[in-house]
Amino acid sequence: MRRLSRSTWAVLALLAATALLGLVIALWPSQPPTAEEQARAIAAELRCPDCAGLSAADSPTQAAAEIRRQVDEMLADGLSSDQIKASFVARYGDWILLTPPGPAPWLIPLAATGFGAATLAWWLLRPGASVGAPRAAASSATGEPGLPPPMARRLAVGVAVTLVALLGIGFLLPEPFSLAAETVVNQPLAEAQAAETARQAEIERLLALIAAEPTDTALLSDLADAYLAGPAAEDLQRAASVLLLLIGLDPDDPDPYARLISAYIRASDWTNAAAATNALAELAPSSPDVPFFRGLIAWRGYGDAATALDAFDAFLEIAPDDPRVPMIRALRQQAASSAEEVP
Amino acid sequence: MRAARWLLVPLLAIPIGWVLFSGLGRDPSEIPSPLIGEPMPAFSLTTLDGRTLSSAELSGAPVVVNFWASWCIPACVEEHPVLMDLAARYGEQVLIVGILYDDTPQDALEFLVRYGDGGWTQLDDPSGSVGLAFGVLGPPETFFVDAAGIVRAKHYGPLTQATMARNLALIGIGP
Amino acid sequence: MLADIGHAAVVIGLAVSLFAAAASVLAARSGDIGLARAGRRAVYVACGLSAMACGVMVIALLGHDFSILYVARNNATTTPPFYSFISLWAALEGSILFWTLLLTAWSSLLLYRYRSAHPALMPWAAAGLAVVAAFFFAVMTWPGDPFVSVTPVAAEGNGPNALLQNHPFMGLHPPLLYLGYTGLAIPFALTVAALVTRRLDGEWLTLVRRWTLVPWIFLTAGIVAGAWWSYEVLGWGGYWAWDPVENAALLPWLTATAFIHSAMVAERGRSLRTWTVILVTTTFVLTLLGTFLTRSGVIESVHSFTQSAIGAWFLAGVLAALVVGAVLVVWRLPDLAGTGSPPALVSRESAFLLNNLLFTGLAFAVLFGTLYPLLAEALSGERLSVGAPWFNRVSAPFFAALLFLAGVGPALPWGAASWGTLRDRFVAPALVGLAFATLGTQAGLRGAAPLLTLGLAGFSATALLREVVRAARGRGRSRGEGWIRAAWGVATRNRRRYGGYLAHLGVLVAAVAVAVSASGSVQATAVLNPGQSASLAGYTVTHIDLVREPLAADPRVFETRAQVDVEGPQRGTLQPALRDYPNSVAAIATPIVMTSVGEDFYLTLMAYDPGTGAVTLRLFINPLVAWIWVGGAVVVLGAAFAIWPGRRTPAGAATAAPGST
Repeated sequence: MRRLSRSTWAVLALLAATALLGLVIALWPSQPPTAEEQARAIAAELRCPDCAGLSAADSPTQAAAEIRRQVDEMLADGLSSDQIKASFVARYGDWILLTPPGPAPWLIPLAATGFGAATLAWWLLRPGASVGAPRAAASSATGEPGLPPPMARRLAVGVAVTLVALLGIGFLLPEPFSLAAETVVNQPLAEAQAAETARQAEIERLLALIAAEPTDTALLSDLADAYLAGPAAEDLQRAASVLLLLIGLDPDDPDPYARLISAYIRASDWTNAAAATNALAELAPSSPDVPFFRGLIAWRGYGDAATALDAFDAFLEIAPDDPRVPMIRALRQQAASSAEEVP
Repeated sequence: MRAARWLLVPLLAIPIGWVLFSGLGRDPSEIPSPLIGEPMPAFSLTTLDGRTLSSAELSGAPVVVNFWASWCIPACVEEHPVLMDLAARYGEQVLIVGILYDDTPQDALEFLVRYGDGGWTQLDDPSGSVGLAFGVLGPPETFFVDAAGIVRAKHYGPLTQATMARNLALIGIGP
Repeated sequence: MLADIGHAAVVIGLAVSLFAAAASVLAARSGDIGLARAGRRAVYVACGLSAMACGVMVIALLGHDFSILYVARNNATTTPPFYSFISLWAALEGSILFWTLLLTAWSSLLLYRYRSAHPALMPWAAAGLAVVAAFFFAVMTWPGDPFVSVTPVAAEGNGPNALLQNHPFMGLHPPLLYLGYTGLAIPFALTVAALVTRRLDGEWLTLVRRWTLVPWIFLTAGIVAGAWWSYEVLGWGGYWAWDPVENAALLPWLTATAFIHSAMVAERGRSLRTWTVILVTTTFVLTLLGTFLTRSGVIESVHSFTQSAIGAWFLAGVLAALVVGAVLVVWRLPDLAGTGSPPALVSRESAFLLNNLLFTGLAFAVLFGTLYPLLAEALSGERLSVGAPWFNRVSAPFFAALLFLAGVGPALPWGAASWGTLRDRFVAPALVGLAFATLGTQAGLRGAAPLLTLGLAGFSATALLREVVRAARGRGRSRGEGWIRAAWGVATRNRRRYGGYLAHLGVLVAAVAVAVSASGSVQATAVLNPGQSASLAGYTVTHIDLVREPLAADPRVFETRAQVDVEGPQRGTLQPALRDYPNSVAAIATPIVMTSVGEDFYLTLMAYDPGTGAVTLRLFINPLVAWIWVGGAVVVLGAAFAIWPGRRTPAGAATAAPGST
């Protein structure tokens, strides 16, 4: 760069001063932040409770939205930023603040860098005395290798043999040191599979026995239970046919009806379920199964809240200690809230 | 002085090792609650069957406040039988209140149909403000409040029989 | 069957790498070439074994072999082949397997390349790399076995983590990062070798510099790719959250960058060698520390893998590396000492010293902030958070100072600088910097951070360009070339310097883009029924329709899309979506970003009402975001240019000894 004349320097200085002035004006806080900006700034300092690390301003969860809403409300009430943050700290602890409280988190990095800067400054500014001649020959090799090659090779072979031996032994060691591949058991699946195998075996056994004694009601009842425990649709159909057989053999026994209606309901065969329930009602009118099934069919099958409610209430009155009460209570609530929605 | 420089090694390794080691075994999601020892936050919510319940109605008896959701699987499913058992055994002595967290009444009812309605009040918190008031991080979270209305314990995560018994003792319920 | 092959490969790999370490150490101590060759070949075999193990896992994933627990947990029959493949590194055990492959591959590359050179250093380097490989094989043999079998075999698996199969970019980001992490083991091993053999001279420095720059390029690309993925895929509108996993990638990058600069001084003379050695060691320890932090569950993070016993192993690894490094440095401290005379106050050397201080100070601050929750809880039992606001505030002065140095450093001469030189080289850039900042205020920028960034960037860019123009003009005059040819000629003669200038320019561009987008972005949330509109800063969005259907690629996934018409400086019909994955309770957001040179229009679907078709949309206008990615690409380009082999003879090549591998 050529040497500039004084006047050029003066012009440049003037320009620089103008630019600086412009900058100062620009940086001067012009208007106070709007409520929205303030709210966003506060929310950005608060941690969203149910997501990892995001601020309440950035997070899409319901909890974050609620925090933002509460911040807006508190600002409108005239609370200061510190008071708002303190109200959240009162519920969650300091953890909810994204900037840790106290001076320590700021002081320590500052002190560390300051220490480094001071050391650097001392190093650069001290009188340039050298510390003496650097240690000579630092780049030469370590000197003669300490190990004769034949011995080194023997050692290497020794290591190899040891490793192979360890590998071999390792497979025989007990857990957790064993090197053998590990197998874990998927317990729930294993149990389910075992139960299914047992069920199939039981069905085979019963079928064989029934072949010999076709009218044995006990065997038929067990067979129906075995089918009912199965997962597939065919199992339900077979159970239904076995139960119908039972009813045919002993028309006055209400016991198979409950299982038959359950099977129809599980298969979503509402017409047959309703018919069977009516048959049961004629046979055993005071049985709690009648309102139980009536309610289930009305609500699950036809969405008829009114009928279902009546039936559920009847059931809850007749049999308050029945183990099916929790389920019916929940269904009753469903039906009740649905009935309310209908104008 | 030349030998002293070896001190740098343990000086560096030990503090770093200690800080990192202390972190192991720490559950990053368990946060101690500042509510312990404080009165339970006041609230007024609608139950799933349409009534209104306010926290004032719960005073005078120990209360177990359980925040849950139908989508919190498997944790809420795991702790449901524990709560059913609580209702069966101590239903006379302690009030149980369930509060939905970020969930709809329809989904909550489906959950109850599937896993059983133990008969305690279920409240809907549609805006999440009660969850915030309690300092809830996410379901399931359970608060144990004594008869004077002071929060004595907070349990984060699914309750087990053991933790339930321990926390019940803090509010004066037990064998 | 497959699991047994994979597991056997891992266990044998452990034995082989232990042998490689032993053979290499014995070779180093005895000078026996045969043993050195045996050690090298053992490393090649270890690489082959880890490749085999990875291959087995990939076959199992593509074939949906649910008899392997890892596959059952991270794959399903409906997972598309691409995502099945990248599930190799998508979860904990698989990522360690992939890491080991890359580590042994890098090691093999180094040892093969120098099989006939550097006979004093290479065996020790081989030993160091083999020990690290053995550590990872050991982790896979015991706590983190990827080949655990499960019985009985389920018919269907869990499927990959929803976040990880949402975007094909998951195929790129982790491999880039891992290439960076694993590659940084090489300079560490070379430094260990140099410290043990006391060969702390130009030979070591040249090797280490080159073999740090390549993984550094990958690490830079990986970090930028991660920020891009966070922005385009995660849907919260930002690209850097100071999340512990992000910090884990940033920390070694900071110290590696400091090292690359520090090495330039060390190469010229005998100073800064202690710094250089410490920086290399710290970089490697930080790569292991990052792995520990994210895999131990010690600090929760949006990236975290689940807690597991692997944490304790990695803690041991971190401490072991730290102790080994510290012992070696302290032992060889006398050899590392420099000439003892400090450089002039205003010189390039002192600029590099300041540079080291700034990068190290920033790395310390970031590490401190990441670990502070742990520290506070260990000391007082209190739970604290350290989030983006703290990191932004603390890192800002460091970044500002580094921006300043990025222009000043290359323009300062070696040795003392006179006032005349300073005036010549820096007055004009200072004026340009002021002009930039003033222009910024005219463009509407407010606030100290963006204006200061703009000013510093203008200053530094002008200082850099002045250097280029000066050199080009000089060459052009002496050879009668046009100035473009001259500039190219100068650049190709001094690839390292001009590659560095280009990389610095990339940093400046990215810094300005970050500052402007951070302070200038606006956002709004709108709840719209079909047919309703909302506007923000010149854009108007109209919600048309809500569509819900299974994904064509993976029918188990349901996608709910909002069709939104956008009018404004950019126009189009966007379809932000929420996807329901079967194994994820929360829906995963798929934002849509319209990018133009000046700004990004960013749209996310936050919630919807299936009954009324109403949607909750979040709109962002983010200025200059595209330039962040451009800046990152320029940095990578500059670094690649710097190491591109030119017509000069490569330094450090020894005469080739016949046929040893």
